[in-house]
Amino acid sequence: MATERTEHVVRDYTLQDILKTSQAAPSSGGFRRVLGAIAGGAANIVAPGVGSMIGGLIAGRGGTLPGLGGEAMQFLEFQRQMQAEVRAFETAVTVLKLRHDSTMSAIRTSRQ
Amino acid sequence: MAWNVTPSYDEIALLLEAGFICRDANEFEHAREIFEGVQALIPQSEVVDVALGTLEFHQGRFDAATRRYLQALEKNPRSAYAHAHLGEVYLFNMKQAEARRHLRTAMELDPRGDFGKLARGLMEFTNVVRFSYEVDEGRHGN
Repeated sequence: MATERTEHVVRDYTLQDILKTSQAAPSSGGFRRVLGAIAGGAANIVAPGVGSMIGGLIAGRGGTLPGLGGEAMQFLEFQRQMQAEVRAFETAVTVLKLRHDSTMSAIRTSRQ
Repeated sequence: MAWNVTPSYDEIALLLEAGFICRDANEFEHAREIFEGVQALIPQSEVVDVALGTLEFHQGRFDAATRRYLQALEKNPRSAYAHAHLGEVYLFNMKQAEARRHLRTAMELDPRGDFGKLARGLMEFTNVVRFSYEVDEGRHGN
């Protein structure tokens, strides 16, 4: 029986199956897609065209690093991407404020 | 019939502010009309050229914006305002080296002012965007 069970297991989960499972590209969750769209929109305020780049990064287009495998590595990769995107978002907001200040300063300069 | 108009500085500032409000409201044609009018009133000022450049930039026309900023720098090569925005347009036009050069110049020209601060903020943004490029390139290579 034990042999049969072992054979059964081997038959159902080959090395190929395990490899495929561990290297499967993560599917983007709804939350990440929405967050990606929001951050992309914010970047588009600064300049058109950049939004898709930043949004795509958050939304997780293109999968993860191959060969690393495993959910833990995928989560670490997601975490790293999220941190990078939070930083990008915050920087974009800062730049928007600085652009406004710069515009006001230019108006003041024209008075002189 | 020639018009001899001598606006006050406050009137110029008011017109510029109106132009920027139109620009930010995506009323680009109105903004252009106002800025070109101000340019006729103060043709020696590089500020209006930069304003017209930002107008192009907001519409995604990076090459036209670059030309405007370069015109501004011809009028005033030491304009931190023009350097900062030229760095910005190079940044979004994927020209990192030129972007950094002009942003550094803006920071040197106006280390404590708003233009220098804008340049510093954009420099920080350059680092973030460069990171994004690297990640994307890594993905494409896989």
